[in-house]
Amino acid sequence: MDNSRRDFIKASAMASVATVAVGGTGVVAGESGETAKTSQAQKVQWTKSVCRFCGTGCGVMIGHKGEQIVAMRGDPEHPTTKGLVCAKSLFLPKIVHSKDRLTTPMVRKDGKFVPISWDDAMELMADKFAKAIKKHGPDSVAYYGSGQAMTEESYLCNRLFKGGIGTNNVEGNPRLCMASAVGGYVTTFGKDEPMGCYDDIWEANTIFLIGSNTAECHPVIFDQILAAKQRNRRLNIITLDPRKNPIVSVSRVHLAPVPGYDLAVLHSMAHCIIRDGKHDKAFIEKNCQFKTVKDGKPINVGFDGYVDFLKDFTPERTEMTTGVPAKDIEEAARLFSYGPTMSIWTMGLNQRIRGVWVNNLMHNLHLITGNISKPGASPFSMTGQPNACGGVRDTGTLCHLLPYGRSVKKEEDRQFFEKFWGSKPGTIKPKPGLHTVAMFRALGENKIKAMVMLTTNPGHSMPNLHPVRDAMGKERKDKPFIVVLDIFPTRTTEIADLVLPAAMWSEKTGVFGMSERRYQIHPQIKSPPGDARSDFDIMLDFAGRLEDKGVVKKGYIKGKFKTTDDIWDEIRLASKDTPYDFMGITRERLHKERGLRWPCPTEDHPGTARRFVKGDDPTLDHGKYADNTLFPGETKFYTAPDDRAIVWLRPALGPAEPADKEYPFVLSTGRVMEHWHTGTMTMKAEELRRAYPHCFMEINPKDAREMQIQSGDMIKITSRRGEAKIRARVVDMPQPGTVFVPMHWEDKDSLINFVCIDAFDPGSKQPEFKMCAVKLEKV
Amino acid sequence: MAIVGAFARVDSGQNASCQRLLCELAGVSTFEINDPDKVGILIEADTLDQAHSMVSQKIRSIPGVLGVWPVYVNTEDEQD
Repeated sequence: MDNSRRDFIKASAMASVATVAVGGTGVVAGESGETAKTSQAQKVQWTKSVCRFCGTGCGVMIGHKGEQIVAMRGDPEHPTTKGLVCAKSLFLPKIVHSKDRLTTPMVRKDGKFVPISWDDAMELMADKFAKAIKKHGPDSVAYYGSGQAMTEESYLCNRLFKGGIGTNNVEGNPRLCMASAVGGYVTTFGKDEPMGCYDDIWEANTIFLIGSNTAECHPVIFDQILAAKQRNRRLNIITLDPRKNPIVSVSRVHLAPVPGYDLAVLHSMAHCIIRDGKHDKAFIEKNCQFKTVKDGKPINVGFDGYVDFLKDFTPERTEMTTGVPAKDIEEAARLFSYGPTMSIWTMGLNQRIRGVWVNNLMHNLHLITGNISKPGASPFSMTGQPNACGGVRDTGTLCHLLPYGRSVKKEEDRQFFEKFWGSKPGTIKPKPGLHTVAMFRALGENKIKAMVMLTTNPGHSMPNLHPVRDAMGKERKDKPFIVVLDIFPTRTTEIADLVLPAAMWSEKTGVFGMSERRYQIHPQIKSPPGDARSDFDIMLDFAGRLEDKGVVKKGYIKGKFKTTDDIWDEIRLASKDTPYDFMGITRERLHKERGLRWPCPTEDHPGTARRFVKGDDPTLDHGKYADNTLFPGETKFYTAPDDRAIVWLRPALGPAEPADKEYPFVLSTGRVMEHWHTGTMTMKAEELRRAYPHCFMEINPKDAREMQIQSGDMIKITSRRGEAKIRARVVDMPQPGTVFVPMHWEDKDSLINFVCIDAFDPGSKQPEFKMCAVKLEKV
Repeated sequence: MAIVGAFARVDSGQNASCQRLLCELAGVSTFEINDPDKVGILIEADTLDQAHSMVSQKIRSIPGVLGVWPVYVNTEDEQD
């Protein structure tokens, strides 16, 4: 690199920092305009896009020269992330151009993968599925998708399997990460998705981070919280996490219950709030109802019944059962009621057998204090994937859902989609399909004969991995046929029968919908490597062949769509007149603007910051839910029964597998900043991989002393399901009696998901990754 | 040569001391940003690996630094 070029890059780097750091909307020196402008002197073209990783949805600018992506930076014009990104995002060019990319279809023959032509591969796939459907019925096949697939891809697959093939065996990895959040929103408010947005961070006086290592897992949001705290000296942070995560250093209160016993802490906070008269009586009177479950049925108990229920949760009694000091519970309750209060949570609440309940209890605190649907006041579930919200939750690509808040159980919803999609009447089944854990169990029992998986890695990410991997890969009579679409070889592709190379992110055009209901488009910038094709293209091809083989109605999909652009208008129409309505989010607007938050019913609508608020939420102005008796700023939970959100009286029960004499430690799994999920992508950037070359197990110094463990010692972690060998890191982060292991490394010796439990929440069906009992042994 | 632009968010009142400590690191220079709680950082290193280590280990451990956010990474040199 010559000096003038280096000086230019340094100037660009400094200008980017300056632009981002002041939160401005300027552009980097040497460039101008909005998108796709060329810096002629350097011949680097910059194109607006969105990051490929977590659910924050950071706006990015991709610098490319022809087919080569050469640089990344945050998009300073992005309205919420304002140019900030994390290290993972900046290494995306290296990941896209990795030499390890899959480039040709491969089929397993005599135990080895050999190349196969696309035509033969697609014919083989279609033939296996068609034969299974004809011989064993539609429920003998299954789809397992991802919160990383594009909205158009997930919608197409949902349409194909539910309305074309006629099976609800449609699942995806969001079942593993945010199904409990969905269950929480639906059981409390009637419909899914947060009502608030990132703007609330800047308006809050209290931010309650619960079950969320925001500093490492959503670092851009964490910076916004720090910035808000520096701007607003009254802002206090409460952290609830059994582990002393990096946020604790900036928190006023750290609540660290025994893992799995936080429900009692939240009830106790509610007890304190009401005892001290800090609840919002007028808001409760108008907007809330109180319910418990008796003999399997919900019954109303009224506010007095709730107060009576909370009597068991005095801070002193709660301290005895949870280990959280009573004074800290009192302080957290006081800060929470001070408000406006925003709560942010992720997997620590969701990956639990009590996931839906603990989500309900978070909503309870917001409802009884009226801290909801106002600036700075929001119960906000963050997602871990870039398109779990838009792609899977919203499109209903799970076994019990239909798009945009509809359910397979409701006849009117089934009939609507059979007509809308052009399915034969009766194709969509009223019974939910198999949820994720049940789906892999059915696979192991050969009840599912053919299954396709895309953009996900269940051979690594599922809990209790041994039976899951056996289900997919163990040779046996009538072994199911497994098709995997991916960009890299993974622990899942290695046990597949057919591997199809897929295009990645910047090699295809599609929509991601992130945590705050913002839909954003990422455009195609380069061609896929080798013979790789987009998942959309592959599944479109597959659908056409199923039509040819007579298991899907002729013309159901074939000929209707060629590109993701073609299907977007149908997706918009599917949302019309629902609480999600985004008819106004056209392809043109997505390319031009920095994303739009639904509802956005018309092409001149700016999108909605907060739902359920008159004057902000357009759903209250027009259509089925319109209410012109409300004053601007008034709240109405129009999706809830009788327009009243439900405060649930949930039992404060613990985890599925607490520590015991035989397995005396509680294992919790999580993440580090440099890596993402199963490491499929981030481990391909050498710099990120070397930042954490090996898995590690955090153990408290007290436990380490007692067991004579030192940092670097190899430890065998054993549960009732499996074992892993991982080096110890002695650090005062996990509380005594607990250990923490990140889940990113695919090395089989240290793959912690062999150890995790597959017990799941009875409502959300989400597994309990966050705690199980283990024993430790120095090896 | 790897070039990384980043900013550090620092404790209020710690800007000057953080800048001083940052400048002691090899290959790191700082620049003013119109925000007293942030310090602009330019890292020049032989490899991206070294630049990343600088961010993830050395800069993050400086007293008063609350977090470091890389904003610009150039990989062009490695891919030419």
